[in-house]
Amino acid sequence: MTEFLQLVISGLAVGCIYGLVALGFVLVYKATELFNFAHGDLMMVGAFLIVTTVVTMGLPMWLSAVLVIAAAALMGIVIQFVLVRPMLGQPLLAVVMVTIGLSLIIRAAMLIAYGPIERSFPSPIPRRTYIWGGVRVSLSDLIIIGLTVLCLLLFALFFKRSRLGLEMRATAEHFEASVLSGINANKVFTIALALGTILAALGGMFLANLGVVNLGLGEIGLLAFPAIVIGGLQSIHGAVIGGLIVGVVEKLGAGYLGNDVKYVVVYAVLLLVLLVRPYGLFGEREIVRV
Amino acid sequence: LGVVAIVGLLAAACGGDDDDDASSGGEEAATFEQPDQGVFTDRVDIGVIYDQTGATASTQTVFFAGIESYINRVNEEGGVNGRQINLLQEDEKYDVPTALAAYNKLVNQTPTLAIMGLNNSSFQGAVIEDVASDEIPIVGAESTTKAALNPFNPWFFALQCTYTDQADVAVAYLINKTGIENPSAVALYGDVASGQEWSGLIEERIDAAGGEFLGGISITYGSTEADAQAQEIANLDPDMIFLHGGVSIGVPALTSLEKFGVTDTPIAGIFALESATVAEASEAVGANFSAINCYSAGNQPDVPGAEQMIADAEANGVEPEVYNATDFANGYVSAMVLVEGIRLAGNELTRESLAAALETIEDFDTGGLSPNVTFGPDDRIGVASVRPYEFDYAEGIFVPVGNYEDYEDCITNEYLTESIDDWDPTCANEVASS
Repeated sequence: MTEFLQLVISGLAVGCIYGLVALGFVLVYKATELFNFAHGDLMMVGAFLIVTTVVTMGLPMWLSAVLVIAAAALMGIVIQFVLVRPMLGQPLLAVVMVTIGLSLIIRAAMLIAYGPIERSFPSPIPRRTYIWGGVRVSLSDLIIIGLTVLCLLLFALFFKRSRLGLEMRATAEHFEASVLSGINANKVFTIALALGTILAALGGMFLANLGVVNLGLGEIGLLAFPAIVIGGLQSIHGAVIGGLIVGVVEKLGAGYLGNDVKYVVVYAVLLLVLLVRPYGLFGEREIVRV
Repeated sequence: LGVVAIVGLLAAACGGDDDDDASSGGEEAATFEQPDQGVFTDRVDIGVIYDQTGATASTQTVFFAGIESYINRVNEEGGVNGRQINLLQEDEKYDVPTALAAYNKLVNQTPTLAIMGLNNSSFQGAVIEDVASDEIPIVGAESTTKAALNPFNPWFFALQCTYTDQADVAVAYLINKTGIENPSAVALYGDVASGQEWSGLIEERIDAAGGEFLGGISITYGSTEADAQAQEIANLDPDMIFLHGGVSIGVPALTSLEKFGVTDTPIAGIFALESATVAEASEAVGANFSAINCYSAGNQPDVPGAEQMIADAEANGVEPEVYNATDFANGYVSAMVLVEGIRLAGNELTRESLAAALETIEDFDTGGLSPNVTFGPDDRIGVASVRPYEFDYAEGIFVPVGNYEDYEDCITNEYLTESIDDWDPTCANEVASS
């Protein structure tokens, strides 16, 4: 039982990161219907930016985090104006290809800027491990879980209580109706891209705290995709729960069946969910008039 | 350019050692051409297949930087036998099909005299039979698998210590270090062909020592942590751990082992784990961590060849964190050997004459960057000695434990002999007593 609990706790910690990244993805998708294949790469950029500000520039962690969040917001705004806005109304495939192109550009730019060498990140979180009933939980895992919960609460409040959050929900629900009722759709899209990129960068910062930063981090963002599909493509809380499920299933798979099959188990669960609920655990069934 | 020129002039003025001799034929114009093998009167094309953008780019690009730094100096000094060396780079993206396409391109489409790289062990295994049938010299790869050496392949010139050599010394070294004669052990390895091979080699030696091999556990390249693996190791409670992989495996492995309280168990890692980034990932675990290697980094003490290597690297704009990695020295020495082979082959340079020339290289001095390099008619293992290194946290560098000669008795050459009957688990004991 201790081993099971240990794997679940480890899975929850890494699942929180997947969940954060998936949350940013869903946020953008809900507002703009943009399926952003560059989302994982934006996460990788966040990880490199925190290394730059903390290690290269020697700034304190809190200031670095603020700067990275600001930079991420700016990136999101630039992506909205340069790539997304001109593509609005274009066929889905064309938009997807633009995001794949963006992914390649980001990777190339990071390779040129930082080179391929792995960078270690001196995490400000002390290497402390707590043992409860034989289950080991590191302080960094607890902080990552805590910050993820905090982010979720803040976003839930933002969507439910703020005017802007309401406008975003309305735009996601029915674009034409929201525009007719006076909502500035461009503003909503821009904020959605900025928030989505901030969440990706936060995921990158958390990943950097786990150890080493390299160009391969963008690949980890791909695990946000099964999380999104399991949770439901349009569900905010579904994205986070999907992330947690992916994290826990991955760890249980690695622990009980071996590292070689851990992703097989994740995608087996994904298939199972799709067979039972094709729109995801918390997604909404779309009724289309034929 | 000024720095390059000054370094070149200084190197030419000093003269005398092997690598300077290598470019001494630069002023004589070549007359022989063989375009279908990448040989022209004014240049020779050399292919380099390595991972530029994939999961192992961080180590393989360092390997290439070493090659490029040496070759650029040789070209600045006039080339070899009147020919400039032109490096044709191919990105294999750590993907075997991509690497095979790159290989075919360098053999047939834009033919080259020789190929460097083949670093990915899975790719090496997949392509090695083609190398023999295509009759193209492979000079220097970042890994040497059994498939490359057995059955004997006259075209593969290995310049990285074999996994059997590393396993021979790793197990004997930890047995000596711990004083446990019949240890229990696990292998923790990256999920590639060489990782599985490493696990098997460790199992053989632990069995031979009368110990108990508790199992091989894999880690996926690019993982951010290795909690499940560390948890399993904590449950197994082995006397020692044998680690395979590079920095991207070593960092999560050491971090997770610390998290699960596995801090007192000695660990020996393969050559690619000799990295300050790995050791500094966890000082608690790193204090018991050793890396087995056959190359010395530029910042290690008592390496005469390091000064020239660093000068070449800096002239090439390479940063200290890159040229102080042993992968850089591996690439640099591989280029030294290639240039020596081209020089010895003379004017009538072909794939065949290059292989014949490389075969004659004996006791080639690399300035202490590696053991001296020797090939022979039946010998394609150019670097045949290894030794352990441990991290000095005060200085921030790995330091060798003894000399290469101290561990020569441990080497079984299992890839060729297919036996470890001669392996003595106590072969490293004299190093401790000295």
